[in-house]
Amino acid sequence: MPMPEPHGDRHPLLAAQEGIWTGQQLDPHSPAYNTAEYVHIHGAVDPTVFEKALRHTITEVEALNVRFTTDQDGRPWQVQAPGVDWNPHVADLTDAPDPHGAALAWMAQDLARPVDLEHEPVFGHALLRTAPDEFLWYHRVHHIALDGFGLSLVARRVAQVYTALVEDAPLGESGFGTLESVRREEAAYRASDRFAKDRAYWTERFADRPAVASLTTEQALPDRTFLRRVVDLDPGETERLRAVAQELSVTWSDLMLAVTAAYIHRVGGAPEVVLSLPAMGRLGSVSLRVPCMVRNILPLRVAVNEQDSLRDLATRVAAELRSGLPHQRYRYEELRRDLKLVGGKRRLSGPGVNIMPFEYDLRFAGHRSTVHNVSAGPVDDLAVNVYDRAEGAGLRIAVDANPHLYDETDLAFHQRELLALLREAIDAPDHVIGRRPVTVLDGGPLPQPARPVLNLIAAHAARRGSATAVEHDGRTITYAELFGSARGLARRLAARGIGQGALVGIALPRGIDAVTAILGVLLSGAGYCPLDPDAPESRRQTLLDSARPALVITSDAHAARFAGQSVLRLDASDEGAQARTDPSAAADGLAYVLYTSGSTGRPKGVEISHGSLATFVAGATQRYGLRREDRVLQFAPLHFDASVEEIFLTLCTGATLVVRGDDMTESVPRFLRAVDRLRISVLDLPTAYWHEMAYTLSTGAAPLPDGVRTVIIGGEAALPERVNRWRNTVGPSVQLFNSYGPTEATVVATVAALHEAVTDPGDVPIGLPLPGMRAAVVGGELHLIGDALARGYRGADAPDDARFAPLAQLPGSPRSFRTGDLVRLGADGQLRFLGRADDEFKISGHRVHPSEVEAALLALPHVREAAVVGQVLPDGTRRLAAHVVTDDPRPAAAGLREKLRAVLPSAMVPSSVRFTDRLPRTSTGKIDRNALGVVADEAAPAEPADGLEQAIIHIWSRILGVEHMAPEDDFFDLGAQSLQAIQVANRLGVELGREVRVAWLFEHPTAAGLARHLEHRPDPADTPPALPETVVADARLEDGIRPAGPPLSGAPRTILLTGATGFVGPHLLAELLRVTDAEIVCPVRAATPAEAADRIRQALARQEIPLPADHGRITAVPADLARPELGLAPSRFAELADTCDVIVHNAATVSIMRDYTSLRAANTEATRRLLRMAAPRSIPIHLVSTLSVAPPRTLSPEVAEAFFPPHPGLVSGYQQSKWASERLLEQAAERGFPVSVHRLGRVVGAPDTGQVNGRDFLWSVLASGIPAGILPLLFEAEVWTPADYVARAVVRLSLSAEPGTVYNHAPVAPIRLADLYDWVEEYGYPVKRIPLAQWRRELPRSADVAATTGAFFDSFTGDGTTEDDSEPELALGHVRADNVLRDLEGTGVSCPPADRALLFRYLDHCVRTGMLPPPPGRGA
Amino acid sequence: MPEPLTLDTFRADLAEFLHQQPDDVDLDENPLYAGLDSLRITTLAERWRSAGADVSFVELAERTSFAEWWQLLSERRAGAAHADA
Repeated sequence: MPMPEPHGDRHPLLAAQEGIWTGQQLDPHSPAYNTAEYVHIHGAVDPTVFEKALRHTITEVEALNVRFTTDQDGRPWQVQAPGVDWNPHVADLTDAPDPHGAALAWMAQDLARPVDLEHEPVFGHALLRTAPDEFLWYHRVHHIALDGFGLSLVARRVAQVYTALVEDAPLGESGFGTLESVRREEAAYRASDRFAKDRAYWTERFADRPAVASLTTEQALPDRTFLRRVVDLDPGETERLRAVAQELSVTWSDLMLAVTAAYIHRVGGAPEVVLSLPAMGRLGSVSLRVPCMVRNILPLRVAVNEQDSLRDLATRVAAELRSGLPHQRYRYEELRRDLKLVGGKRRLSGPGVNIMPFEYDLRFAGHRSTVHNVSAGPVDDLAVNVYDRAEGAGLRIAVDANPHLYDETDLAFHQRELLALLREAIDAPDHVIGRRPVTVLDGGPLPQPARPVLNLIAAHAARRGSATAVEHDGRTITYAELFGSARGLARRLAARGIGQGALVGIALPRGIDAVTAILGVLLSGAGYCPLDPDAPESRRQTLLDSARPALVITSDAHAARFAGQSVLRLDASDEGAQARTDPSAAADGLAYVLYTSGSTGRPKGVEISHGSLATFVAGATQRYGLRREDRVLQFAPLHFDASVEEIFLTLCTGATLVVRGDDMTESVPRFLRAVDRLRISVLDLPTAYWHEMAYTLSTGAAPLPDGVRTVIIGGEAALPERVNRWRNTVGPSVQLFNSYGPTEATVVATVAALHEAVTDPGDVPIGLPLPGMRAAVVGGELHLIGDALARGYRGADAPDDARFAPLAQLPGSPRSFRTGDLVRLGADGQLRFLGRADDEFKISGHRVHPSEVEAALLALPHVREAAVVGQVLPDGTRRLAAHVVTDDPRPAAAGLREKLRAVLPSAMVPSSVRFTDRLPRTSTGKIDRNALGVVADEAAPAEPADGLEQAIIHIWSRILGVEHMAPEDDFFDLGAQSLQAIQVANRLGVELGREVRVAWLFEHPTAAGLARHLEHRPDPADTPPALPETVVADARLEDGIRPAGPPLSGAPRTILLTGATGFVGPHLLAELLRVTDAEIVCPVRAATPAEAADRIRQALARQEIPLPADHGRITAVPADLARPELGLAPSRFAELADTCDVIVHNAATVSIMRDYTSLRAANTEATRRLLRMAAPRSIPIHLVSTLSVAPPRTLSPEVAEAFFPPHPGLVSGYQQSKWASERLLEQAAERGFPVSVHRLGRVVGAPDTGQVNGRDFLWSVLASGIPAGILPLLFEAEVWTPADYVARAVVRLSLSAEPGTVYNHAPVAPIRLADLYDWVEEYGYPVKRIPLAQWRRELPRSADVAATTGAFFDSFTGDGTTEDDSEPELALGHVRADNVLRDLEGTGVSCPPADRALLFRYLDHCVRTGMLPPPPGRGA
Repeated sequence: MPEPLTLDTFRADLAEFLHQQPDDVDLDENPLYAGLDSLRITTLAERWRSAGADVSFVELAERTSFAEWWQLLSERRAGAAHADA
């Protein structure tokens, strides 16, 4: 057996461990790196022997006897710590209703607990009995210590040792090699030629940094947990898989890889897939016999095309593996750094396929067992884990998903489809599997043949001529009148030579004239093209150049804008002659042309024929159920195709079109009142507007008018949250149709009836195709087929025209339009919109191709390069962000936007323009849009963050050794490595006096971006849930800790006092010496007893407490409460447990900024250890706690003298650690421990010395605010208690307390903040009192005290992103102190009230010590 | 009943997994650099066990040439004296 290395031995981490450590730093409290499995043992197990086997094995495994520490530079070290203190959890669950379920639930809970790598064992074990002869051995270990193979080595050894112990046979050697041998091997490899060769192989293979395809277009950091679906292949299928593998001369793992690649290709259509392949990394290595973490990940490129069969793909995979595997020792993390694929959204590889072929047929004293994986570690995207189970059992496939990216439904869908594809492929290995499957949804036939719109409208004019066709602003026009004027216009057009084949521009605002003009143009035989009369000049010109209308119909008001065009002014009714028209438009005759954003950088005109329009009208009219009686609001401007829906559906039905007035939409309530007044029955609204309306309705601010019976929405994805609000408020009685469709398929292609039964409230379908249309889902992309498709684009634009193409996968290869939209078919058979396949972005109903905006930017003077990306902010707001490289001097962003407004519709003008020195590019020279997408600059450019930015740049340039770093430079582009990011986070945290998480550096990889994030931090997603699970877990007192023996009696001879060197501690010490004759043992952080004693003397001196005459009774002991056994030698700990008669536990690390995990050891765990010490002799424990564990006034009007259940007011780590300590005492009290709890408020200095605690929060606020002349309105009033009084009261009450009593040390009236500030002014300091938020803004940033208090407020409010003046809730309700008053009665111990004189004494002290400058006009 | 294990069948097995001709298999080659992975080695170990040579994955994986594999297999072939692992 190798001897463990000597105590205190520390080593750098192995490269693989460093990868895990880095990942853990991204989210330090994440339990995601806990890996676990359980071994189901089919037979009786002796728990005592099993525990012995576990303990024996763990002493043999070096990698488990470790702690991980960081040095000042943030560099991690592994410290060998043999004899790690741990206990297995042994439980008999046979009485539980579902023992196996209970066991799994226990495991899930254990797995969810984050591990403190510095202080806790990296592993845990449980033996759970689920039936008389069935046991589950659960084995958890942090991935930093062991990988999957390492875990299997340990399991094998445990089985061996257990068996030997049971059989009373020699245990034998473990056969484990040393960690040192693995380290030496790794060092030798890194120095070898092989290393250089391997690096060259990978960097060359990935030089082009291939696009990484996945099943989603989103990316995210791993969550703290993962979703999993497990399925077993039966032995027959597994056999078949193996047989096919053999037939194809590959292994079954190659088949799994091939099928996964094919599946990813089929979903997104990517021509190449890069899989992540965990590799054991042990071939030919000493680590084959060392339980440790050396696992690597290989990126595996697999090209997939439509003709590929399983044979093709598996052969390709096998060849790629043969060429890559020899280089498998080169680290994945290193390759990412080489390729500059670190941080942001840069990826090297996509979904993982993890093959676990380890032989795992463990026997426990002859009993069979089966191994089950519980967690394989964090999941980046999606991971397919394949376990080869014991002989003949078949394969188990566990598909894990990152919950940030997939929900249960998605995961179930992908798992089902992947498995179906696997079965299909092994049944026919030579059939094509690369082809993307096609699902067709058919909208069914039209109710009757589609009739041309003009015929339908003419029929209404003829039969119901007096019915109102259009209303606008009090004017109405009947069908007969409308048709008559339109015919008149048509004749005038004919006289100008307009007829079939021509295109006529219409530049009119919404209104009766516009409707007349549209019908007039159609009646002339021509098609119409709506032109926004208010469009920017150059935009209008671009459209006119492309559309080439024969004529533009406009009004006098707008005619001037069309100089140079042939114009017909509608208002000039006398103009020109009339001629016969020829309106008998053929089905393929042009009805209208509408412009949308084009991917080529220019807008493109979609040509819709009469046949398409007729098909759409017939299908949609039926689907929406429109009736003659309906009054339909005309909401959309004419150049949006929603206007086509509104106008033609209404007029073809014979209903009334009510044109919206411009002022109707000023507010939603106003809009709803107008809808009511105009008796509208059908609303056709842009989804974005409807979102507002649904919200307003849900708040009750305005009701939906009774007359509204149908609402149609469309233009962008509907938010589930708003749909739910609508459902809850409006209910199913009003029809709500969610419509989807590109202009190229005539307005609307699919419709979902959202008012009908809901299957999944979190999921908004876009429904089914309209009658007459079909939808084909090819892979994941939606194609549309049917008579409503556009003729094509005006002026045939080759790349875009290719989107109209025959769909070869369907019989007859019908013409289809490839939408570029990714969809999913739900269980209810309806389509769901998932996102775009390209970078088209939808904003306020506009389709925006970033390239079009880029083209406009590049056309501006001084703009050299431009990249535009769509961003979705955390609140769902969508916006465009431009990144621009310009000549010097830089133009102003506002100026650029102004110029863009002259050429682009306003929705296409980026709301954010950022200047940069160069655009990020991939190695192939393309703009790296992923990198741009993450530069998420928060909306309002609030305070210039120069100072912060500079601080970040300063630290980064030092660490990276670069001289000139611009705020927009990407750290990772400059070569930053993860470890350096961690160092920067640490230093930045120290420098700024606030928390800086490593993950933020990855999410905001530029100084500017990070500074903005820090300015606005924390976003709500970062704020932890009410009480972290660690806290809850820590607040449980183990069953084993119970008082034994009778309560102690008589005067105490030895008293243990912790925290004797703090602010209150010296007073406690002096008081204990005064009122008892006991020896006072004080554990103090120190190296030697002499140093410990010295620290106590200093603490007394600092408080100006004279060294008590009988100081010989003080015993200072070097200790560290954060360590096991309080950092005492075991013998000393045992001795204290034996001799001590009272414990006064006053020590705590007080920090308002630190988080719980960094406080738990010193605060919570110390309390637990003291309880452990107290248990054997039932030693009384008195805990000095804090009123800050109480719920704030908003939660509870009174602070009771009782233990508190968990509450949302426990925000800071300090509060949580003190609450957890109290909770431990509460349980101790319930078990009969003689305990008491003493909650202190603000402890101020003893009046006779006028001492001030400079580290106290309030005093630091005063010390930073007074010199600046401003003080914040923090709270109404609070209790002040002087330290000497507190000490007298605590000691007195502790020695006499009824066990289990809680004392709130607030025996006097609180001091009012207003009085306090008055006195400050009376003392001579002029101060202005201002709200806290304003104070935070106005306080000079230079004040270093202010930095910590300011950061505290940021963290306390949990919402630094809003600019409102919401105050943090610091105030407590009325603090009850009945117990204190009752038990101190007659003792002579009483609390002096705080008054002006006392405050003056404190201020004197501050001036004396330099904490405050003397007041103006007063000498020092 | 699987074929008994001989140097020829050994070469043929390797050739199959390396996509080579049996004669082209270089016995001095390191299995790692030949592009084998743990599943392939596991599969070979299973095959050779069923042919009567009791070898484990770890024993194969820690050796750094095919020649060493053959030496191990020769020692472990059925009939050969069983050495302790």
